[in-house]
Amino acid sequence: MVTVTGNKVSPPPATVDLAVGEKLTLTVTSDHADQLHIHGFEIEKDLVAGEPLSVTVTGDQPGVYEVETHHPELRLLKIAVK
Amino acid sequence: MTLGALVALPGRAVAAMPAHGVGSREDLPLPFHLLLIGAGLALVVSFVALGALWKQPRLRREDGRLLPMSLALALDSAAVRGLFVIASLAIAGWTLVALVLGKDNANNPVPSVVYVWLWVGLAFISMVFGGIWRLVNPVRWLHRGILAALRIEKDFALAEYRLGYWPAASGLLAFAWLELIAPNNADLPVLRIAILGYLVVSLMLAMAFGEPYLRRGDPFTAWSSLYGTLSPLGRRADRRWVFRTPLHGPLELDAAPGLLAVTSVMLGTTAYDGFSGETRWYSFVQSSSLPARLWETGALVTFSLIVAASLSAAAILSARLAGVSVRGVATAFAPSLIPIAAGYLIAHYWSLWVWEGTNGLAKMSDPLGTGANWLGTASISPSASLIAPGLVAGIQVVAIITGHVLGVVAAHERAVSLFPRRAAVLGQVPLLVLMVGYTVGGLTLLFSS
Repeated sequence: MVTVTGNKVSPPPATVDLAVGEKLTLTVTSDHADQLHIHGFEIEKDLVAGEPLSVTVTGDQPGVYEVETHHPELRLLKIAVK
Repeated sequence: MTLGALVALPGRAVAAMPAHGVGSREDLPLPFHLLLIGAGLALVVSFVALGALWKQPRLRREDGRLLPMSLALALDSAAVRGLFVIASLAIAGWTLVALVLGKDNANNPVPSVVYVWLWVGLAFISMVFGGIWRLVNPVRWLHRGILAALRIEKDFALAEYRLGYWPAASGLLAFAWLELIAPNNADLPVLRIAILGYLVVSLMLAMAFGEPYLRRGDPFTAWSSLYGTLSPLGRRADRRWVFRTPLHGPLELDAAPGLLAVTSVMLGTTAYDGFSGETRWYSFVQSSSLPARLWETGALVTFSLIVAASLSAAAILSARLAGVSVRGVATAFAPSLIPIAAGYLIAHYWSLWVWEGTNGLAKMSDPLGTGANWLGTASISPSASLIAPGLVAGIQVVAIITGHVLGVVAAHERAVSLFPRRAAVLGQVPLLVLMVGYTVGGLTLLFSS
């Protein structure tokens, strides 16, 4: 659960561990229209102002992947697949 | 930018995401016990080396085991050299086609070629085979071609070249900024401006200063030649090809202007790249009221300055302790940064090279984004076993420690040749402490980001 207000991210960015095969559901709410981009999983979705967007990813290739928005460019968190 | 356009490639279906930097995955943090082992090894090796290594200079330009005659003749033959040049020009031309005529999406090969092949790949190849860019640099052949077309002799220059490595240091810093900080740096319009700008500026400088500029001032030639000094392949004093240690090359570099600057940029930019992934750093930067890119640019420059300043301070302190003049001493020790920078580079970019380097080869098969597979490489994908977390962590620690050991030994050799014998051991202590600091710092960045 991540909330974006202007250029502030709450909770502050951190790394979330995920085992291979484990599922993670992210819910992102932004106060402005934006795009959500999850690196590595090649997910890119539009965020509508004020509306929570939920995305589920499954750990596959080990590595660290960034979750970010594009307008403004903010890094929300990192997913570490172990 | 074509958002969400779908392109079907033979063998795999790929959604053409908008281009977005290079490298969509990063390595898992280095396990803490490997950090401790690495740091401990660095400390022990350094101080054992201090007491146990030779007391007189040992590495000479005449050293080396001669290559078999046939191999040496092949390396010097016009046919083999011509083949390398043609290969390089072909890749450059192919990339320019994708740059000018290709589609601006994530399947375009140009970002991978520029940011992965030219940066990481060139450094890796040079470490193994030597500074090949001096020979295959497309700018050099473009410059020659223009001179030939104008019927001007090939050593034409308007002025004597005296800038040493300074243009290379600024060019590499600018390249690192483009790769790590610039907005939309994987989009074709930005890449077109950057590549065209680089070509125009390089050609103007080459016209003004002739080949000496291309040998030392060109950023990618310096990048390749300096990492190339670590290659076991080299030419000894009589210009014959030999196998030799990775330390012979760095220690025979001339103390040219800007050598400290360029080696500091080589180490500083890689260290910045590691640091920029620190969660606390980017949370601060992105929520700051000042533009994030201002902070990032400041940090990139600061990292290179810190390397240059800390090496200068340690070298000057060393010279003082040894009772010799401090003049030129920082530049004299600058070559010992090269193996350390190489260790950082391998540790930091091994997986990027495997991952995006291979993806780049797949994308090269379809330079125009038409779904073509001209090279037959469209369906290759990176080998997951080459970037398995355990292997990557091992490569990271081995690379950083090897770079550290080579740096320490290079500094030792330099110290015993510059400092009087009595003071040579004491004189090395500040440099050793600094190198242990670089190594522990490098391992910490790999552990925490």
